[in-house]
Amino acid sequence: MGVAWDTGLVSRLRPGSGEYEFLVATALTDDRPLIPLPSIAEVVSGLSLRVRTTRPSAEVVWLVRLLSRPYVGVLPATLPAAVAAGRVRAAQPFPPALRRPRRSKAERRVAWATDIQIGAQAWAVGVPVATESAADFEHIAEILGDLYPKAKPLDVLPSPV
Amino acid sequence: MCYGDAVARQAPERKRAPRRAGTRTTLRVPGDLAEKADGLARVLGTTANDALIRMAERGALLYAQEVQMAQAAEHQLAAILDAHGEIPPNADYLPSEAWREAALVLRTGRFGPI
Repeated sequence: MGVAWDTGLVSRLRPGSGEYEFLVATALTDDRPLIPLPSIAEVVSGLSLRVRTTRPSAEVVWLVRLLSRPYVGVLPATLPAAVAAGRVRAAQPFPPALRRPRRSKAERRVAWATDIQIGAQAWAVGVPVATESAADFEHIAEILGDLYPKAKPLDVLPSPV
Repeated sequence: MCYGDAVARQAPERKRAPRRAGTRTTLRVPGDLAEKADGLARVLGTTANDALIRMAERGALLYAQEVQMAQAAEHQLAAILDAHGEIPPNADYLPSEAWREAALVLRTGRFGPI
């Protein structure tokens, strides 16, 4: 089926990186990364903000070319995912204080909103999410489990790279 | 009393199906679909064949919308790739850490120069 990658892993996709090599090597296997749409939006936005020209930066061009290849899996955004994301956000509107914050409140809110969508989208199609921030996604999985006890729980895995 | 009986009791009398222009054909209808067509025919007071055609018309509309959206998505992606142009042969990409920092700028808030 595949494994959803969080934004942290997607941000490491660049020519020659371990994440890129892993994506190409596993493209046709059950370990294939499924790239979430909110992560794509966030990374493209970040890479575009850093190079303020009317044309997209070489990094954006490279990334979009990669993601448009037919062998690259994209995590689908579904109706159950949208509903679940909405309920999780309502249950926990602001980022939980799981560890000592390294970022400002506003920045943590951006990350929290994106992570909820990624977690809900992975949960909705029954695939695990691979992340470097296990605590955040484990918290999302816990909320999903409380909200929908009969559904298949969201599994959280460490980065495969 | 089951649901079907209730529906049958409330349903108007069956009428002849409207005449349609088109090709006559014979087809094998799967059992579950035939049951749905029968149920719909009872509710609408028409024939099972007419109900089957109405279901096909509604389904065709949904398929047409799906195909239209898939085609539009393909077209939009082509437009994005076209606007982006080719990757320059000697593209000078950001180094690894700067790339990652830029990619995560919305959550780190480090909007400074590269």
